[in-house]
Amino acid sequence: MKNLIVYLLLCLFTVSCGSKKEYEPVNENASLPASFDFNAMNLKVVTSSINHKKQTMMTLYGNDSAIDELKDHPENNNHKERILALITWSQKEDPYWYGAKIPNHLLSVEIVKSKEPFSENSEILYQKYEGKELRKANADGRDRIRTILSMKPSIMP
Amino acid sequence: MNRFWEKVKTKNILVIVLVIFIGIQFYRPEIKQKPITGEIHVPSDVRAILQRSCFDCHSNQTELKWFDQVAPAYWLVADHIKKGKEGLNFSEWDQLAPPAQNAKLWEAFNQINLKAMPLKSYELLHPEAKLSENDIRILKNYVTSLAPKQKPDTAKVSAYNKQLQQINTIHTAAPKPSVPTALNGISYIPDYKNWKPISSTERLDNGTMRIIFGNDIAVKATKEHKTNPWPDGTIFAKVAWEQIIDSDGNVTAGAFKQVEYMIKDSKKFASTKGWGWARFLSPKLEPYGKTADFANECISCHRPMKDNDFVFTSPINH
Repeated sequence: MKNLIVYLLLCLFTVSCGSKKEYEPVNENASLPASFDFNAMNLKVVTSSINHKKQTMMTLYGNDSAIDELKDHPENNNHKERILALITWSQKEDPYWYGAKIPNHLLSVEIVKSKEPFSENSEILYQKYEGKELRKANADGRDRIRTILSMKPSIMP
Repeated sequence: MNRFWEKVKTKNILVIVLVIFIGIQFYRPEIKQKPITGEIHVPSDVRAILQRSCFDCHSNQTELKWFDQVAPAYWLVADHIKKGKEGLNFSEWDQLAPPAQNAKLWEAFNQINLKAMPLKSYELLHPEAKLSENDIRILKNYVTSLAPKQKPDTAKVSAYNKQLQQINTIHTAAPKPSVPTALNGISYIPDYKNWKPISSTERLDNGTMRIIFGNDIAVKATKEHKTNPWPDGTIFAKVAWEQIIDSDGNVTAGAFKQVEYMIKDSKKFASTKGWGWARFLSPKLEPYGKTADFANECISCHRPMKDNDFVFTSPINH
């Protein structure tokens, strides 16, 4: 009998501990491996998008000359290197806001580079890195380059 | 002799306590009885739940129990009702525009879902206000039915194109002389565009998509896992856009809706939970808030995250 009471108390204790909300100080599943050193490229946000069919969300980053070219600002036309990077995540429901979805797992990083304006250059470099560890993938990027270059910068006043 | 004095003392203390207790009953801050000007219209099962669990503090139909009438409990109740109605009043529902009504209902549901509402102190004395799993499911289904249906919409595309034109004219025009400032003294910070994004969200409840930017201090804190509390100097900028969806289910950022800031300074902003709060609407960056204490709205929505330094976002390392 005594054992049973102790057991029940233990159960109650575990249950009450378990129901306490645990906050994620960092969204680890969605984070990039530190070794990839994404921030070293020093890119800014260009835009974001969502694919309802694939349940993914994406953020496009770029350097200034790439962003200017995507914005169609001819006055800023220069011949500096262009860099764009698209990060794709799967989605999950936000545990703290019913009605919101947030990034779940890191799926890929795609990088598009060109020494000259995208519009003038046929030699556009495409690299794709996949999975949590961002392993380099062999991918033909022709369609992807077209898709990424057609993305419009978000309005940020 | 000592015993005698002790007796007198105990008696005196009891008498004093009684006198004070009776005395404080005469201090009764008024709970203003206001008429129902425009009541919320919802299905009857939803209404029954709201009436039972929310109406005492969030409507003009307060029904006080006898023990609510006794000071000092009465003071607490009066204060709860005053603050509660300021934030949400189902009896003056028509004063809100339909999108604001939807936003309030979604927020109310999330407050309930995260067990931040009804207030624990209220629930303790009013156990009938506690929501069952079934009550929560009924409310969840109801708010879900309010979510805007996302479908290809040319109006959203033209709203985006119009903004784009506006922005380009502002871009070429002379720089603005002053920076927009909210009534609490917090100014718009244009530099957010150069910060790193720490996460993004898709909002099904209001048809927006968002990016949360963090300044260098926020990015460093994320890297070092020092996010609860966030260090002083942390600034977040949450930018919201309309969703533009095509027939393949691809969603892109449409018209710019707003940018919101949370600025951490545990001393300067001690009275607002250690954060400075501000929101600037539309490309004109109109400061949100009719009075200087508009941040109470921000805080009450973020209150379910009080054990996480009032921050919803779980940041991503890049």
